[in-house]
Amino acid sequence: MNWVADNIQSFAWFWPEALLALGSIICLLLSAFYRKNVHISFGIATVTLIAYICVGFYHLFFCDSGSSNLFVGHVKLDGLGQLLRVLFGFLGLITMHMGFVHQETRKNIHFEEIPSFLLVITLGMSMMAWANSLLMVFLAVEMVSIPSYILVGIKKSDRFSAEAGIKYLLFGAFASGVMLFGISYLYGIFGSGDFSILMSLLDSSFPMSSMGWIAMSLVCIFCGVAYKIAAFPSHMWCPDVYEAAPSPITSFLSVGPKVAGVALILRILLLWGQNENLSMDQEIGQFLQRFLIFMSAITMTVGNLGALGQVKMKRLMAYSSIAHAGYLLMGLACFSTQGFQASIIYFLIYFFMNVGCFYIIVAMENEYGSDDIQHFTIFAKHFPLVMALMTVFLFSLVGLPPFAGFIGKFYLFSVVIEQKMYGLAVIAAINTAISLFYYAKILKTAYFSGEDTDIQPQTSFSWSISLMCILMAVPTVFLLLQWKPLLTLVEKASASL
Amino acid sequence: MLSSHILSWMTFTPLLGAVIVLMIPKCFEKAIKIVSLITTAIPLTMAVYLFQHFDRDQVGMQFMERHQWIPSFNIQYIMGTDGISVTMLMLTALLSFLCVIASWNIGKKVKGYFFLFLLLETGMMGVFAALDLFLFYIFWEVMLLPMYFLIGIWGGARREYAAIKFFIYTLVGSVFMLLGFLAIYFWGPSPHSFDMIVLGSQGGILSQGILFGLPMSKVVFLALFFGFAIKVPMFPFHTWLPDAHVEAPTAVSVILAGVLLKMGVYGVFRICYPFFPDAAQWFAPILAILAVINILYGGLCAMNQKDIKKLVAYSSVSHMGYCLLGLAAMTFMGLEGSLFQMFTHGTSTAMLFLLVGVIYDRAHTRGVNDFGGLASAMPKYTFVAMIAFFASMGLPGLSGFISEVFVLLGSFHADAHVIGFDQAFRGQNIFIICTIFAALGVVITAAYLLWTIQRVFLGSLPEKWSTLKDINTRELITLVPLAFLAIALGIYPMPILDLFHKTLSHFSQFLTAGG
Repeated sequence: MNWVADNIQSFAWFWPEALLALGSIICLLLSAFYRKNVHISFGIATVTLIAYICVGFYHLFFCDSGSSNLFVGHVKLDGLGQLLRVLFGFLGLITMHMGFVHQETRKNIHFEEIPSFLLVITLGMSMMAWANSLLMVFLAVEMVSIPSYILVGIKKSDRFSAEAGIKYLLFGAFASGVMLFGISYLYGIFGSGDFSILMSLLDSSFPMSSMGWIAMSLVCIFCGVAYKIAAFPSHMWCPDVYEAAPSPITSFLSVGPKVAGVALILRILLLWGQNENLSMDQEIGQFLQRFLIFMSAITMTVGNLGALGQVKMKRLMAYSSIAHAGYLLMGLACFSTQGFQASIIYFLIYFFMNVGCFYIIVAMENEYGSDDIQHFTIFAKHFPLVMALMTVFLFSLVGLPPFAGFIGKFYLFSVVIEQKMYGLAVIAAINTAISLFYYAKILKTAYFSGEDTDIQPQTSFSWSISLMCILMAVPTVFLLLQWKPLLTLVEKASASL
Repeated sequence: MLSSHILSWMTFTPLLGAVIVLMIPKCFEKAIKIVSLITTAIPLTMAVYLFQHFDRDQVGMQFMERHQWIPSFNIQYIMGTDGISVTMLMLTALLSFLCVIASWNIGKKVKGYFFLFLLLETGMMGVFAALDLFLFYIFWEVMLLPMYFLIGIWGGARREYAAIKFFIYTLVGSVFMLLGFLAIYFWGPSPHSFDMIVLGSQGGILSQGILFGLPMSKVVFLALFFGFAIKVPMFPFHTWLPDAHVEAPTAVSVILAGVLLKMGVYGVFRICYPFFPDAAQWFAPILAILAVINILYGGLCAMNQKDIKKLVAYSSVSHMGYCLLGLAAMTFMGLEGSLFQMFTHGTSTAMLFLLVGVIYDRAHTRGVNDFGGLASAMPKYTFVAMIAFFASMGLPGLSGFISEVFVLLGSFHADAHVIGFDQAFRGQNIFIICTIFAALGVVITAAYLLWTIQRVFLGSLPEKWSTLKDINTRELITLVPLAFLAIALGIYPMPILDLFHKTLSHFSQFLTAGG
């Protein structure tokens, strides 16, 4: 009966997640049986998430968890998981706020069901970041995927949204299948799905004949996870889904699952070693590195080239998010602690700039009912200050100093150079220049054309959108002055990797 | 306090001004302009202070500031100046101040314009004062953002195209520069550092390693040089320049030609050469050939232009070729000529762009053939224009002459140090050939400038231009200091030459010894 005790003890660290599950069930029941007041389920979800974030912060800063396994080894508790838990909590909260201020989403008849799904996805993403066994990997990925299908298609009367939901579902099902195929092979070869057991088996010698099978199963798993982070070869769903999904959901998908997926890949890579002394002499380690470099280079190139011709803002952001998945993979491909840290730093910064962008897209959709880039011409005249913030976010996405995106790029480039992967560095450099073109195109539309008009905006601007934009812009602008706190946080999070 | 942090004050006073401008409501245009004027005048007075207190006998850095910034990456905040950068700081301060005056009649979005302009000045000052590669890179990039908007919003008809072209060209160069900096950091001498003084005093870093089939030092040299060459701009990367210069508003063209182009040459002086003297020697013959192409091709292009502004833009390409030729020569004379050419070209080309702006404001055309006989309608304007044209031409007695002669003399004597590519030319000394062609460039320059003078100022005045008003006081204020400098330095260049004499004699010895 030892495992019972272990499971119960695990809840000492895990009860915030249980809280999320509880909150989500309550919200779901409320939306089914008590539809009079939509604010109640939002209120409950908000309280749950705030509690989740607070506990997350408390655990992160005041409880030294070290690195320990929970639930008989299915879940691994460490700094990275703790950090991401807080990040996902914030993302869930922000998405709910965004849904609340986005008029189109608010008018949706299923509006009150959104919080419940968001809580489940938040839980799933945390599990992805915490997963320590192949079983957990699959469960967590599915836990994120299934509610995502629903949220993407939630505008069910809208043809495109429904199409996107189906498309997302079909691609997702296929990717999950491929991943499960890989997992089953890996399980068959090693006889266990537990990461700590896998690691010890990998350290000891294993038959050379199974090398190819291991490599193949890992490629399958990566392709499955690539679907979550919208990386090559599973990125094709991204533009259609991003365009048709309600903007708050798009914003959520462009950050949450991407970060969780990167964390998951990181966990799998860690099977091949834990520190500087990665066993790169192993054939599979080398194969994996080459595969990741290849994946990263293709992903960023596909994303940036795809974005060049876009005229819809959300579609453009979809391609941009593919490109950023490529950048994130750069750090992972380094196979070193510094590389992993660079990826973590990059997605923390990406969170701010991307969410900031989406707030402005939401504002634009509220104002003009569409996300056509053309609207920025008028938008810049109506709301010059908000457009200035947009400028900041876009330049930050390019990675230009003095904005925070540059710090992320700087770390990524530095680890890649340190690992002597010059080819990848050159490709990433060229990609940065390409990406400038489409981001600058938005600014060109906003500022360079059109005459001065005195048309007043139709609706007044929600103060809470402005506030959130400013909150996102503050770290984006001022991080460069001193980013040591961020570095300390990331080092703390990755200390126990 | 002030004198020990003078470079920081020079750099960040405009930024402070930009923040103040941002807080002034946009209806108070006068207040915005006055704040801009004051916050550019302060760096100018500091530049005068710098000129007076700069120790001309000292070789190393002066007015140093050093603070830890990000210890884990060994990134520091280091500011300092020596003979190479002090003239550029002074030029930047002067041109920025004059450009604020020249922008007085900007009518569109005044607040945004001056905000971006002040931000631009911070970037430019920072590039010349920064002595940490990371800091240098940040200032280098910070400059791009305001420039993009200044060209794109306040520019001419094809401004959108010109702005994005400028932006992308420069960014491509600078990302490779960043990769180069990181390679220097990780593969340079330990302890890893971005400190330019430490890295530049070692006589060649990255001596080991092969990359893409070339020695590491050469690859990194080329990556950095690529970034700087785009800024210079060196043939074949010059195509952004005519577009950007022509479309930009007058003051921004002045800054582009007067300061931004110099950053490319400055970067080679400050980073490429001291870090990789051996790679520099290896590359010198190619650089000399490209420099001569710059001179001749730029000059010939200028001769063919119908638009005065485009003509002046191409003349910049040609004149920057002299800077590159002086650099390639690596002799004391050549380097001194190159550095002095940066300063004189900064003053003369700024005058030319201001003059084009003056005539465009009145006539709303810049076609060379649209004018004629302006000398009778605008005598004062013509007088100043003559000084500018002859200074640009390098007429003896004006400053351009001295710098060009220095460059040509320096490159004629350059054979001693250069090894490598000259075998390809059957033992001929490539520098002598290059110098001969470069001297031909002087003739081309004279040809296109004299031809322009003839078409614009001489001959009979078309009826429609008879009512053109002569140059006004505000415009004269922007031009007279530059004209004064062009004449004064042509007669007695020592005040400026003195500033970098010691530094450069040390520098040329260092380069010779390093290879």
